[in-house]
Amino acid sequence: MLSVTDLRKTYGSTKALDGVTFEVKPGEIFGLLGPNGAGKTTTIRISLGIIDADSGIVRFNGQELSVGMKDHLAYLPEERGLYRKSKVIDVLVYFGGLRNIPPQEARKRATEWLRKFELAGVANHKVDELSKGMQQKVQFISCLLHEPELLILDEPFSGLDPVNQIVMKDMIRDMKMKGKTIVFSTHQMEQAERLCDRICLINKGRVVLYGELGEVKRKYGNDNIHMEFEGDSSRLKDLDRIASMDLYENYAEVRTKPGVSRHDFLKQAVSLVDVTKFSVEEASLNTIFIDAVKTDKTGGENVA
Amino acid sequence: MSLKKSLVVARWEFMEKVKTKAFLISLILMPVFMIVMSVVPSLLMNKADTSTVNIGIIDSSGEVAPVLDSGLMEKYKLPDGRPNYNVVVIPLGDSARAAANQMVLRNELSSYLVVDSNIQKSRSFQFVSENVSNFKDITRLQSAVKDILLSNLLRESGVNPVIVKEVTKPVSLETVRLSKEGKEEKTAALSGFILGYIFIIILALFVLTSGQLLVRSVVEEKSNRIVEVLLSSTTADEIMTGKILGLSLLGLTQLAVWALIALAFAGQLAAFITIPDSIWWEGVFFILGFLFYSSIFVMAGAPVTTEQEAQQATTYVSMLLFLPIVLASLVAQNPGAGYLKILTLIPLLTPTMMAFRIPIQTPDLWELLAGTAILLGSTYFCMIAAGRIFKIGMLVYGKRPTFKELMRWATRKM
Repeated sequence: MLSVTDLRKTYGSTKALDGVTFEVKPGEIFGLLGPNGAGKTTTIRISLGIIDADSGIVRFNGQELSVGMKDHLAYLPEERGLYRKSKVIDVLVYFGGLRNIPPQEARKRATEWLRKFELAGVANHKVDELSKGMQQKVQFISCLLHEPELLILDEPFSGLDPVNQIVMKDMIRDMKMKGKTIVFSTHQMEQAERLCDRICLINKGRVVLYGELGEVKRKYGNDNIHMEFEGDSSRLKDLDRIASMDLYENYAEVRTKPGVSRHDFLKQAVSLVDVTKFSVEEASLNTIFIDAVKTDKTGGENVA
Repeated sequence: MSLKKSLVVARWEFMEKVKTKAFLISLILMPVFMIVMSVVPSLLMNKADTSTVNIGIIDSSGEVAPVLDSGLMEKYKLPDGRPNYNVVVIPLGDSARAAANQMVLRNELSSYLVVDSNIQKSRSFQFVSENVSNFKDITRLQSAVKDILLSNLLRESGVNPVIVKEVTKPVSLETVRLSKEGKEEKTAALSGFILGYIFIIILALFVLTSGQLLVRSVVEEKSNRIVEVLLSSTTADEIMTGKILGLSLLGLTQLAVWALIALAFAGQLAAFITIPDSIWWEGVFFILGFLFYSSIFVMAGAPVTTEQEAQQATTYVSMLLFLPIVLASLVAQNPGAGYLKILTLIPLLTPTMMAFRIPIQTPDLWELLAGTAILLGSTYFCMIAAGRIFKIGMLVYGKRPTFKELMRWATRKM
C-alpha cells in the first residue's frame, strides 16, 4: 500500500531522518512509534508530500507518490487544523472540494458523517464554539469525506481525555473494519499495543524495531517479570542483577541480566520489599520501547 | 498545476472574506470617509456668509479707506444681494488702535486693517483679528487692497480709469488635450493629474485592505496548522494561485460597489475630471498592479508566523505604492522624461507610475507593452516564489528567516 525507502532529511545541521525504510500492507493498522523528536512527524509529512525528503522514495500502490495520488490519502495532523471562525459544514465542504468532491456531494457526505458522530446539531456552528472532542471528530470527518484508501494520523490520541481517546480508538477500528489502511504515530504505547497489527519504532531518525507486533514481542523474549509489592519501592533500586526496570509505587516490570535466574531475583526482591504478586509474562510494548530507546546510543542528535 | 483546486481555494477565500466585518467596513465606510474628507471641507470653505461682515480700517495714507468699500461691494455680495462687507473707517489718533481692538473684542468688527501713510511704496498692511486663519477674508482683502494700489499708480501716471478697470479684469484659460492620435479634447486643467492621484489612492486602498486580508489568512493557516491539511491535499502553487484569485475577486467586488457610489457623485466629479481615451490602459495597469502587489503581500506573509511580523513586512511594501506621489509634480511637468521612463520599468513602480503618466500624456505603445510584460513576469515569479517560501516556511517557527535564507527558499528546486 505505502512503502518508504531510505528516507533522509536534514534540517540545518541536524539529521531528522537517517535512512528510514518500512512498508505498510493493505488493510492493516500500522503504528509509527518513537519518542518525541524521533522523526515520526517528518516521516509522515514526507509520506504525504507535504515536505520533500533530501533523498529516498515514497511509493503508493507501487508507484512513486505524485500530486494526483493525494486524493487517495487522508491526513489528520497532530495539531488540529480547522478554520476557527468558519462554520463546521463550510469547512468540511471546502476540505472535500480540495479532494475534488463537488460541493453538493461534499455537503451530503459531511451531513451524513456529522449525523453518525452525533454532531448534526452543530453543522452551522462556528468551529471555535465546539469542544475539543467535537473538533477532533470534525477533523476526523474531514479525512473521510473523499473515502481515502489510506489514512495517516499523527498522534491522534494526544491531548484527548480518556472518553475521547476511546472515541478515537473506535473510529480507527471502524475504519479498519471498512477495509481502510491506517498509519498512526504515537508515543503512547498502550494504544499502539491494543490497536496495531505491525509497528515501526523510530529513534533519532533511524528504524530501531520493525515488524508484526506479536513477532516483535516474541523476539524480545517472554521472560519479563511483573511484580506487585508493598513497602518502600526505592529499596528495589539496590537490586544488582537486572538489565532494566520500569518501577512504580507498588509495581515493577523487570528484565534480569542474562544468566540470572528468576529464582535468584525473587529471593533478593523478597529481602527488600513484601512481594504480593509475581508473574512472568511477555514484555509490554512500553518496556520494549523504553529499552530499545535506551540501548540505542548510536545515531545523530535528536531533533527538537 | 490543477486550476480546479485553485478555483476551490479562490471560492473559499472569497466567500469567507466577503462575510468578515473588516471587509464590510472597508467596503462601505471607506468611500463614505473619502467623500466626507474630500467634499465637506471644500463645501465649508466655499460656504457663503449669511450676514454682512464688518471690517474696520485705520488708514493713515487716506488712499485706501475711501475706495475699499466700493471695491469690495462690487465683487462680493451676499446670496440675498446685500453687500458681503461693510467697511467701518476708524478715526485716526493715538487711541485708534485701542478703540479698534475693543470693537473687535465686542464683536462689532470681525477684523480691521492698519494702513501706513506710505503704503504706495511699502506695499504692506496689517490685518488684525481674533481669527487670523480666515483665508477667505484675508485673500479677498489682500486682492482688494492690491487692486486699489494698482489703480492709484495707473491714475497717477495719467491712465484713463476706464482702461484701469479693463486692465485689472481676470483672464480665463481653456485647456485642450492633444491625444496620441491627434485628437483634441477639451479637458479641465489638471484633470489628468487628479485622475492619476485617484487611481493611485484607490489602488493603494485596495492593496492595503485585500493585502492585509491575504496576509492574515496565510498567517492563520500557518498558526492553526491548517496548512498541513491543505498541502496534504493540494500543492503550494495551487493554494497561492487560488488565494490571489479569490482576493482579486474580492477587490473587484469592492471596485464595483465603489464605482456605483462614484456614479452617484458623477456630476460633481465631472467638473474636475475628464476621462481620456487611454482609460483602458489605466484599467489594465490597475488590475496587473493589484495582482502583482497581492502576490508580494503573500510572499511577505509566507515566512512569518504572527500578524505583527506580517504588518512590519507589508508596511515597507505599502510605502513603495506612494513613492510616485512624491514624483507627481515632476511627472506633471514632463511625463516623457528619460528617467521617468526608466523608473516606470521597475516592477514595483510600474503600476503607479503608469497610473500617473497615462492620463497626463499617454506613453508610447512599446512602453505600455513592456510595462505589461514586466508586471506579468514579476507577478508570475512572485506567485511561484511565494508558494515555495510558504511550503518551506511552514515548518519554521519563532525565528524569522533572514533575507538570504528567503532567497534560498525561493530559488531552491522543490
